[in-house]
Amino acid sequence: MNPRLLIALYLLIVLLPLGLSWAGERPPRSLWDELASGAGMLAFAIVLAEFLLSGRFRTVSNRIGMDVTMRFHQLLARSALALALVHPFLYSAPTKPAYPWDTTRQLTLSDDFSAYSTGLFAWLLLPVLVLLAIGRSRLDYRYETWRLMHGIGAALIAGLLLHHTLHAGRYSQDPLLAGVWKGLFEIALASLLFVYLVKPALKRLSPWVVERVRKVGLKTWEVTIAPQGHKGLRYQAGQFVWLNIGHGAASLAENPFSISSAPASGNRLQFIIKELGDFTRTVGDIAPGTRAHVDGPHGNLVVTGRKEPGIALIAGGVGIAPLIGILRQLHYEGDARPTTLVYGNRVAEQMACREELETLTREHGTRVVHALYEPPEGWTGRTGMCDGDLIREVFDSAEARQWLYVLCGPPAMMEVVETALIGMGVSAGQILSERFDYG
Amino acid sequence: MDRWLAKRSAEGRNRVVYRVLNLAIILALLLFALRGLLTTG
Repeated sequence: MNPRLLIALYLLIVLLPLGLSWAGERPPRSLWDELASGAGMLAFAIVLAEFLLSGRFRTVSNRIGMDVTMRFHQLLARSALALALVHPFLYSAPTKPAYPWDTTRQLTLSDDFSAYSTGLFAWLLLPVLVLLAIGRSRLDYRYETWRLMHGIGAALIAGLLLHHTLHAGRYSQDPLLAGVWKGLFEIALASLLFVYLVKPALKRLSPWVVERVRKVGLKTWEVTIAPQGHKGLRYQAGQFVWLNIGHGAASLAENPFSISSAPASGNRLQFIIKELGDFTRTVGDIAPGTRAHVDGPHGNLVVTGRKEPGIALIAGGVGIAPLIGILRQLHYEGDARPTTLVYGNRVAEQMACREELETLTREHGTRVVHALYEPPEGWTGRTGMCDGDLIREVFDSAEARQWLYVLCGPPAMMEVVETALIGMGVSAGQILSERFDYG
Repeated sequence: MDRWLAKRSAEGRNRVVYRVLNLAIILALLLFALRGLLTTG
């Protein structure tokens, strides 16, 4: 979806309850009471919209990227938290039964304890949910355990907030606004059920099987999977999938991996996986024939349809995975545009697909620039990090400033390279990048 | 706006859009809270 349309839709969802409250027939109260109610409504609306920003919906994330979607999910959660935390402290009206002449409750707040208690529980749980998510990488959780807790916690908070809003909220006594809250809640819940129930069911219908696992570099493996009883996946070079190997379709034990194969090469999918975490350390032990499930494709690291006169691919370590997929596809298609690959690694043994890159240089004319941080004796290539100096050395020409740049690697490398490219005069629109570290 | 954003990194653009969203949300909240004054003068 177009990013501007996404922003407009987002604001529409988040501001709708406030707008309906404004348009309703209840007269305004004091500034502080209205700020309090408004903050509460906005916090709840942002919480509900967070379900759609979970990164699993291609309609939302395909144009802007899953990493950008997840970043907004993280940032907007902080806005919701801030609004929710101040919400109860802004009220100035007394909590007591309504005066007989005050039918719109302009002068008092509801004294229904059950309606407050759900708000209080949500008020206590929301900071815990946000803080656990912010500190996830520092806590000793398995990713799937955290994800399950996060999903259940979010659904619980949304349910508590719905009860609190419908029973304690002054404006939510309006049937139209109450219907909107219920509708938004149902959409949020349906999105969760879609991710946890419908998607696994669809994955069960389209299983895959591991065909081959081979070592392609130091602690780096290439995994090939083949479709079982279906035609495979329609994807574009550079995209990624959530891959689950050896678990049931409904298992949360899945990780995002870039597809390193080219769509033109057939219906097998290949992945280049480095031993980094719980699952990846065991990749070398996966036996051919193991069942796999795929959720995707996702991602916007796609050069299809781009008209730039040349394509630069800049990879750090295992970031080569989607970029070799793009190079393979360009080679299959006979794309005549010049291509340059800058490939940084710590040591020579980490370089994956070295022979294939040499073949691509010979047959496709791809210029490959290797950079090693700890080069071996007799190394004649670049030494050091894949940094701004290297990028300026390789690409600082009027012609290369018009190229398309595709980046994949560690976050620090991507930031340095992106800053260097923008400093050289390359427009941000010519730079494609996708991060897999969501913090 | 587009030209200005084109000179920013991906995270820089995220931050700009996030601030714009927050600004819109806070502005809407203030307008909502002040509507009594705005409509009655």
